[in-house]
Amino acid sequence: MFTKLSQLGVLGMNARIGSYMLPHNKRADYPSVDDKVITAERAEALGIPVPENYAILETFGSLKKLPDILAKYSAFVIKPARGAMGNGIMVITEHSGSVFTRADGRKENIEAIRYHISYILSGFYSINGYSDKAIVQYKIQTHRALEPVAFGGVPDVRVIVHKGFPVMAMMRLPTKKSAGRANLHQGGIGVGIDMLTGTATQGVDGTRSIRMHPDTGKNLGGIRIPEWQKILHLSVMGYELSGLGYLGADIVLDDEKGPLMLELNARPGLAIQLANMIGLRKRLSLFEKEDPAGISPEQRVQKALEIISTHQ
Amino acid sequence: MKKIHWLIVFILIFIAVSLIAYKTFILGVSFIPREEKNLWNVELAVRVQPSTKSRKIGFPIPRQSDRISIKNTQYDGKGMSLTIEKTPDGVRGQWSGKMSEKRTLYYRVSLAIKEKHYTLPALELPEPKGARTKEFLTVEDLEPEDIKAIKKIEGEILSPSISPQRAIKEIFYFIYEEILINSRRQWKNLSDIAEHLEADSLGKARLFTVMARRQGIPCRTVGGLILRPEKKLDEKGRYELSYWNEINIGGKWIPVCTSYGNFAYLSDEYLPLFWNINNTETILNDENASLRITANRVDSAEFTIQEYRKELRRTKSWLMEYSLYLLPIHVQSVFRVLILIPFGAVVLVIFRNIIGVKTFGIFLPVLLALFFQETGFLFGFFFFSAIVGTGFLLRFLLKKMQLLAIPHLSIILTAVVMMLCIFAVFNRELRIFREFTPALFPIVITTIFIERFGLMLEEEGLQNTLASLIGSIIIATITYGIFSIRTLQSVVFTHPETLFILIAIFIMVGKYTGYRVSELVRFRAFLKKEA
Repeated sequence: MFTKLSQLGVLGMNARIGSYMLPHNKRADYPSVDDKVITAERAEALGIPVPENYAILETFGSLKKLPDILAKYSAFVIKPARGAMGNGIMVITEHSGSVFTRADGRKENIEAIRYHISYILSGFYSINGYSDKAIVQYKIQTHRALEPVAFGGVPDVRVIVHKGFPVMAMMRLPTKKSAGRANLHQGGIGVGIDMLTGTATQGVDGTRSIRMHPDTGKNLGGIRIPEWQKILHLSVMGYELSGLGYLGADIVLDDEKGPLMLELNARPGLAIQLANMIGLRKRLSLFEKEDPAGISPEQRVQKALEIISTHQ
Repeated sequence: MKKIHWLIVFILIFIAVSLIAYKTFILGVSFIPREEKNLWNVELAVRVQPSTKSRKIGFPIPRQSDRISIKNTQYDGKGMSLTIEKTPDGVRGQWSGKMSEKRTLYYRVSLAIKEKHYTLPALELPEPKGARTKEFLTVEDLEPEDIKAIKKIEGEILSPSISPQRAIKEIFYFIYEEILINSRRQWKNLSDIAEHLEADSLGKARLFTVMARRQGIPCRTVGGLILRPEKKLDEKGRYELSYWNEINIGGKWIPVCTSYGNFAYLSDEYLPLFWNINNTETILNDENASLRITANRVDSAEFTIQEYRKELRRTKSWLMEYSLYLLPIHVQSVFRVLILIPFGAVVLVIFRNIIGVKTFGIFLPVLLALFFQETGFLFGFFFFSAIVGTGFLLRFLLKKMQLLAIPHLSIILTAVVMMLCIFAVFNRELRIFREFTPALFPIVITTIFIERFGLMLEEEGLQNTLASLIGSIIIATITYGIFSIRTLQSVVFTHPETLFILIAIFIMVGKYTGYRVSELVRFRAFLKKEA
């Protein structure tokens, strides 16, 4: 059975770490993606559009000013700067007076938010347990084209970028089970995307193949993702930003602002293979001899699409 | 894996194997110190009344055999000299010289006793050829009423045509089952025994000897110690002398004990001291002296360590100067535990990287296994569950107070410590288990475990949390199983270079980029697909 997986070019956890992350990702480059504050700063410097950070809270003392900070915004997201796998993210969709409404409809008061931020600052959601910063961020407005398949949250597009070339992509959709989060291990669903056209193929819920969104019942296959070329372009810029040779770029589509780079991930998950039903190692191996040096991001996107189309 | 990695792996394994081989085959040190289970310090103290005459006082001492191995002997004659003589009836020590004061002379011996099952050869009754054989067939002079009583018993239990094989068994069953033990008085006459159907061990042994010999089976009485609690006379370890028998079948002496019903079997409680002596007076051949025999069990580990240290010193090799056995004993016991931790890591590495089992924390399962080993598995398991359960409940209550994270964690930590204290106090009262050392209880890890457990339940749901929990417990259980292999502990403690082999294993697993077993489940959709 291992042989079958191997023939199909499925990438396993050990190979992801041993053959891709360890050789291609320098440890020194990790902070640029593990800390979302640094990612945002670098992105701005490179002219990559990102969601606006309203405020960055670094100390417990700054929690006193929290009501003033939040007063201006009716919707926002609070997330740890160094969080992992979508943990510790609080989405407030509505804010009137002292009542904050979360994405799942729960009502909270300012104390609950303060408590949540103090947890973030103590490093509880932090990838390595050290103390952390909390980010108050612009809440993405789901693009109207994706509205039918977005349940209670914002979909995003995950692109695996190897040596600066886009290799494989999927769309991640929030569900009732994932409570508005698009992370697959929390119950979000993954949808495979044809790299050449940006059209959705089929979905995966956990390890199960699906054709329809479990909550909205809408067909997943055939959805065309708007501004696909721009999404690919933004993803490969992740290589310029971080220097990581194996990364996952998370791009969100804002209804107003278009594609924004939400975050980069140095340890992208393997579920993307199930969403596409294509082995990732097989894809990655097409790029074994490619060298990104001296090639512009646009050219890399074009080259990658050529390589993928010739091997399909 | 590249060549260089294989080379490193090979070198590591080579170093370990060649060091062990060098020590064992070239220096000739035992592979691991032998583990002696049943070690006793036996002291034969002869109390001497003053006398102006020069004299010789003989006393029995334990004899080396396939059941008894003598480790060490010491003596203190207070000026009298000791000679040791091997006689057909046992080894005898003899103090000789003058003793004008009341003194106690000591002869101390450390020995290990093993149990033994004897195989019965085909019963061949020897022709009464040699003088010795004749002796073992000669029935002592008995009073007419003794003979009458014995004949009566024989009439009851032995049919006239019975074979010697059956006869000896019948006699054995009769004396073991029908005659009750009564050591409160002496039983000089066999007729007395037959009348009361009661006897002490000497009486039973004498009766057996007489009855066996009357059937033509060579038999002798054996005297010594039966190291059972009920034979102990005082807290200092003085034991009463006990007696059993040996019958000669096919030229082999086979033990029979009619006191505890052992036929062709001696447990590790039997320590024979002398043979073929029927009355206590002749054990110690001096009227003005008395013999006191005490036996005390030795903490075996310590004893073999002493032995092994001697072995190490004898090699006079610099390599042996660095043995862990030369550390103080209490430090050694710590290292015996520490040195096993990497084996826990091997289990962990295999389960996480090759099988793909999820766990809480990285080393928590190993620490848990250490704790289980300290407390025993079942108890440790329930104790840990109870602490985590209580802590989890507390966390649930604390959550409502919305405390900052570190103070919140600190409260749980304090609660874990308090629970340990409360348990330790109750344990002293209730004696749930003998020695409770919370030292190895992973307090901080448990605290973090409780917190992560709570958070994970909220964030990732019951299914994922339970998967990690079950994974952690499975790994902890298997690790506990490995920690419990005493031989492994001895091997690694004696040869810490085995840890190089572990590093080699870690390199190999570290370079493994194949699939995890769990990925067969995760990517099963691919398995259904056409290749």
